[in-house]
Amino acid sequence: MSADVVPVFSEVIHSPTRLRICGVLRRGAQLEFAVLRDTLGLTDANLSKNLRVLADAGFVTATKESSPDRSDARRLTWVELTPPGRRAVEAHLAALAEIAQG
Amino acid sequence: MEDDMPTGRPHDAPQRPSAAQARETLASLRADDANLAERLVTPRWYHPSLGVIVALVITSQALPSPASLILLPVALFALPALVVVYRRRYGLWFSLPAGPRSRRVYRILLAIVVACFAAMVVVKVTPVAYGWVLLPAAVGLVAPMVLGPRYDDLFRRELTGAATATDGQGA
Repeated sequence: MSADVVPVFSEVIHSPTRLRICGVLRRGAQLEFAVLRDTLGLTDANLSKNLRVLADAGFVTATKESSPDRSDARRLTWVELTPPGRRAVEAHLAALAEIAQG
Repeated sequence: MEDDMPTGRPHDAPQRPSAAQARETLASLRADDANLAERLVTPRWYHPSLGVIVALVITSQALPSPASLILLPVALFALPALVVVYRRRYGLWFSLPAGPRSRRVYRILLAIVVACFAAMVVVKVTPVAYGWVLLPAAVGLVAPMVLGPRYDDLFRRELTGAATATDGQGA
């Protein structure tokens, strides 16, 4: 986290699940939906719902990609933070760090 | 008269956490980072493949035209293809170093590769014998195989310990 980050508490990000999603994505990670789901121990529905909220806020993008490894018609979904999303996460974590110091 | 008491309805703005709650939240993020770090697998073929691609690009692009143009697709597609293969196999990819130490190794590796490419250009545009290109090609082959695993190790360590920068305790 850079030293010049201004702490800003984000009500969108602070939901426990959405904060965890943003947390694992904050270092430039691109995670496939199943990996993100399994890493955080979430259900498909819960993860999808929260990703939709973050996407509506402009904080994440979800990109579909066809996979030759899948026998069905489903595609891989890649999730990553947008630049505004990354800034919002860093600002929110700075706000949490400030609160944590008491 | 307006009611200022919180209604408890789900759509009300979440209350700010207490200091203890904030610390607990940050600790849970560290646990997630640790879970993710366990998934960061570097297959044995990755860094040697990267080194071979770099060496091939250097040796092929130092050739005179049209040979260098014919081999250009190798340069254009091999590296992104390596990334795609890794991403599809493991379901993840990181585009940024996790901290200052991994960033340092990343920059060193990048500088070495750029220097090798610069040497390639010198061989291509000067009367220097083509055989000299094998020197930067060899460096380009070896550098990813030596520094790549070091970068991965530092990345995993910083990924699991990087949250110390998010809980106010400093990097």
